Amino acid sequence: MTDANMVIPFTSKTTDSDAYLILEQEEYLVPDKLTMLDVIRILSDIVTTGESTSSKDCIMSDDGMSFSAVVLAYPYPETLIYNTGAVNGLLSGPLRTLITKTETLKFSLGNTASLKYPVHTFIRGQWLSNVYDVGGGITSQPTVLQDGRELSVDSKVYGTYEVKYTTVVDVYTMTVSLILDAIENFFQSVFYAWFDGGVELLDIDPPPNAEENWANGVDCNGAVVGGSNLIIISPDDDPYRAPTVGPADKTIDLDYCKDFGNG
Amino acid sequence: MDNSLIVSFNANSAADLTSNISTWAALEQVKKPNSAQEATVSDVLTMVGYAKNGKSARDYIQELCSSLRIVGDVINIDIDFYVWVSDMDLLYTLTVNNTSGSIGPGTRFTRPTSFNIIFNNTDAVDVGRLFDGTLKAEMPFFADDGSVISPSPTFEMVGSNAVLSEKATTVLRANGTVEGYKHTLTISLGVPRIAVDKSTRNTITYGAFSTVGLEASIRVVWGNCYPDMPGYEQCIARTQDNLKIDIPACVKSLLNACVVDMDGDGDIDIDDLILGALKLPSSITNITRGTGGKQIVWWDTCTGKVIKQKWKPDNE
Repeated sequence: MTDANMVIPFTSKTTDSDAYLILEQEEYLVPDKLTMLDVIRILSDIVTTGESTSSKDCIMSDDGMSFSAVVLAYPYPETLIYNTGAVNGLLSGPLRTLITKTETLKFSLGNTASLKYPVHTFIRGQWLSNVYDVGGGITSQPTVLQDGRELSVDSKVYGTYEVKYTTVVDVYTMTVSLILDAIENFFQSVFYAWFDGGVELLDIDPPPNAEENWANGVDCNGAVVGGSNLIIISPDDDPYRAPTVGPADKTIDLDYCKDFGNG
Repeated sequence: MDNSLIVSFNANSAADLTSNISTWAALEQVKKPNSAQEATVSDVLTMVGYAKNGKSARDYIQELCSSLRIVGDVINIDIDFYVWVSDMDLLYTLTVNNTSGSIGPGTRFTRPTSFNIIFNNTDAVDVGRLFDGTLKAEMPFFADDGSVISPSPTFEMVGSNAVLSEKATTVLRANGTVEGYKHTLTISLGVPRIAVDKSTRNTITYGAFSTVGLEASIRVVWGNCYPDMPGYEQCIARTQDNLKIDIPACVKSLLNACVVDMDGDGDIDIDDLILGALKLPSSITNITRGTGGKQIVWWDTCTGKVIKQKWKPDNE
């Protein structure tokens, strides 16, 4: 078995020849579904106080009419000058940062593989497994060459290679508002960027259920927008409550087959 | 059971048969709202309220899950789907591969809509349906090299395609109406029933089904010839479209409750129905009312019907 800590030389050669820009939308941090913890919190409220004011945080604003999305732009070269715009959105930023990426690449009887983002600084590369040649035999771990985002080895192999590297990213915040004259697709929006040599579009995904919730006039908790989840479950307000004093033991026994069956 | 449907219309003209080679039909399932599939805080509170009021919380789930109807001993699953056509007079035939499924007649509809059309270095985008309305540019028109095209390309709808006068990257906003047909696929299943021989404890289950293999596909076939034309019998369908039906999660969830083996003995029997019954009021009532006792409700996990109720005072 391969020593996972063994580092195989990683040789950087040249860089990409063409300028490019990669756009991504960052995933929303708030879970889009009710979690077990949310349910526990609600039930705990009811058990201890008879009511629940619990609600989960929504991505949408309180009035349900806007949300913020984070757009990540990875320029290459890092000095690339580009312009940005938004369809149905207001942009703020960018905040340029250097982040570390770890990618696992598979060589499947080939001798090339591609990294997803432009490389600022290579940190480490290592084979995570044995490397096999086209005949199925274990072979020595080959040296990996880097050419821009492309990685290559000198012969066709099967194996898994992990790369850790840094990349430069420009972080934008995009505030998307309700399209007032929309009949549906109320929150569609597009981030775009153009530069000498190309143009890129990014269709922004609104928060989960945002369209449906707006159409139904509720927020992510199912509460009326601008309203409250407060449901008081007290005996006085419960018109169907079971008797509280002196109930007689009354049992209704039904025969399942006779009363509910086909015969 | 009839599991095919032919929808016929009069041909506009003989020219339709030969010249309209771009006829098409496309299927799209009408998605049930997510509110019927995923729980919110409000749903949890409502279900607790149901349980407190002596109703089964399952009733609430079924109320939201309009795809599932239990009528007597029959479970009906209704799945709506659209047939988008290139021409509202197009002849098309629908079939479903599920022998328990039947397709109802189509309803012609016109629905207001608005949506973005994204052009990515192209001059045509097929929106996949008959759209009538306005298009508005939402951003500049970019050439592939990143330069802004000037003057801006013109744009229009041609059939189901939004078309630019030259290739560009841009976004158009469409506001108007779409027209098509809406059908309903109904899959009918028997409610599982269990007979118990009390002397031997042998059980006989009938009408049972498995949700594992519950699936259906619909096919639409359209032709380039019509029944009143010579040689119709030799007409060969030009092409077809298929749709794999996505059975809503709430339907699967509710149907899974129809087959229970809660006591883990490998048999499905009346004890399982009792053990499978939800006793929500037994705990909630005690806590919220404090005194008195608790109402225990046993219900059929499949149909939601109440089988038995019992008031149990605290001092028992």
